[in-house]
Amino acid sequence: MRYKLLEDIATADIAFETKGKTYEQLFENACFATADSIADTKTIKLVIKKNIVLESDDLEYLLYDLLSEIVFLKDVDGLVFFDFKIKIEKKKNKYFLKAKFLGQKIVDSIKLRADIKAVTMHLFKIKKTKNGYKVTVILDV
Amino acid sequence: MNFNELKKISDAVWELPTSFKKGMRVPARIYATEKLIKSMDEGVFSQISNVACLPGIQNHAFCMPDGHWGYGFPIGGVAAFDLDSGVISPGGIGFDINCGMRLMTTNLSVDEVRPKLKELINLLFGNVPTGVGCKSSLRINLSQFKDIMTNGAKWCLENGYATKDDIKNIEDEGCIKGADPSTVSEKATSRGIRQMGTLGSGNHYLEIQTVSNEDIFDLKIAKKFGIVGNNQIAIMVHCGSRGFGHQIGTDYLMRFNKKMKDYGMSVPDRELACAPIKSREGSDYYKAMACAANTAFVNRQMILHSIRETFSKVFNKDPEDMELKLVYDVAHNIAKFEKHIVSGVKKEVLVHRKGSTRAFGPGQKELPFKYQETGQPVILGGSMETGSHLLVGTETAMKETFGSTAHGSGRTMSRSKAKHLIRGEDLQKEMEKKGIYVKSASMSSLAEEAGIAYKNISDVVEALVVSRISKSIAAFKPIGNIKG
Repeated sequence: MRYKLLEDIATADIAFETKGKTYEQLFENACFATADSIADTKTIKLVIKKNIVLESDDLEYLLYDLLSEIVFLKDVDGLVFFDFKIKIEKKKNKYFLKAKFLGQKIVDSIKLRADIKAVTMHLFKIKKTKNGYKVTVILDV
Repeated sequence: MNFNELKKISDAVWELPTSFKKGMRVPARIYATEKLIKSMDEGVFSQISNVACLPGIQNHAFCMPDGHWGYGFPIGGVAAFDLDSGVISPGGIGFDINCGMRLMTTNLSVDEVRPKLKELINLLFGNVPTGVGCKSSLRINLSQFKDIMTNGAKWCLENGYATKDDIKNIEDEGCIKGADPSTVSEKATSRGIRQMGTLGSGNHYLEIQTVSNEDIFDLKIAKKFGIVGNNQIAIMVHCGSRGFGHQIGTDYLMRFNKKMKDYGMSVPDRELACAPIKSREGSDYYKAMACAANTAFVNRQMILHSIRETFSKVFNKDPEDMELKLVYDVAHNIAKFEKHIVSGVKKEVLVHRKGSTRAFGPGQKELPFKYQETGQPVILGGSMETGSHLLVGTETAMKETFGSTAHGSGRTMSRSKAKHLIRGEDLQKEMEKKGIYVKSASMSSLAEEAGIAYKNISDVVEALVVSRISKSIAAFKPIGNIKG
């Protein structure tokens, strides 16, 4: 599994934990978990590629903005995604992120799940582990 | 939670003293029966004591009996802040700004509706967009959307989507003053402009309900509210400001987090990020929040308009002939400037309610004239299996909780745990056997909303009645439901 649902926190919402050996893998897995909460990623096909460019001097804010883009595109363009390719570069004290979201417009064949309202900052923290990094994310449902 | 740390104030009021956590400026009070307090989420105690640490908080931080672990404030959280030393926090309102409840009555009886229930629910499901990414058929331009943000439900009246009586029966007549569209991002506007009149998903619903004679607990007040029993049909709607409000919450949460250090403030949870009420950021957020609150009133009014059209089609009658009337529309995720007694003196404060309903008692001039004698109708939305309640605000609520009460039955089980216990398809069949026809855009979302995932609403009502912050008027049983 690319992420683990946390059952005993934030009762009304969706809480997950995900890991990555690198920041990029961590971000890709967090994006996947968010997308999988909106719709079953197994039912989504590759029709559209969406390029996202973000920058921040704070890695957690960068991840927050990235996950919020998935929620935003769901509402504005009716897009859902199943895969994510992410590159992060650090120049001086700033992080520069380029992401490619792979997915399609919502159609009847897609198994929809929750209409995620927002990404929360409650318990939102990237932590260093033995093998890389992990993050806890709570999505407002 | 070590319950020895809780002080019992009365049969349904408990206090966490300021010694519970370093930084608490006031004690936290939880309204709950002994049964409810013992089963409260651990997160409630941690989060409500965090709220008690915020600058300028007045009297106490409160949590209502339907309280559970949220983000920032617990769900069920209430806090009032001094206008000079206090703060405004998006985490004390929620991303779904002005999520709220709306109750309508009809002169139809269950015997008339039951034979056409499936047709009615199926048509409502078609006419009220629900679920992930749902869009409205209403086409409005930017200028009209800004008008909605500024003027709220009045826009519906001017455009033929509301009656004068509807407007009178919405909290603040469907318009929070001070809304300023210039404080709203383009992203928020683009998320919201195609969502007016849509339900969303999660715990949002449109429900057809019935009221029997034995479920009326105060005949006189119920009659004033248009509740007469005899298996009368009522309709309840639960939803909010949709993506528009969610994006405003997202935008300002980030802005406040980045700005807080400039004000020399820190909070125990980044979701509690805040700004002084009178600061540029605080003032901008209030104006943007008011825009979202006004769109939520319009969203629920547009849904009422669709309900009237659908009932008309199915029963081949005018809405007036079915007396399809709005009892009241209440916000339960909002911050409002209100006057309350603090340390014996009446003063203006900013009351945050997150998963809490205003519950003004009799005599409050803010209420519609016809409710000034009774107190404000309070709509407590329950689970789709077990039913909902109508209560009324009291003088005790005015004295103790800044005129606030609960908002629903409150979850006890996480969404993923509920899905492990029941499949949406099975739940749908079980409910149909019980006489409740439910239609949902997502079976997994349906399973998450099973009755077992919620507290017993009667326990919540009991806590409100024992503590006297609300009075019970009537209970409603579901017979049909549409969900996202």
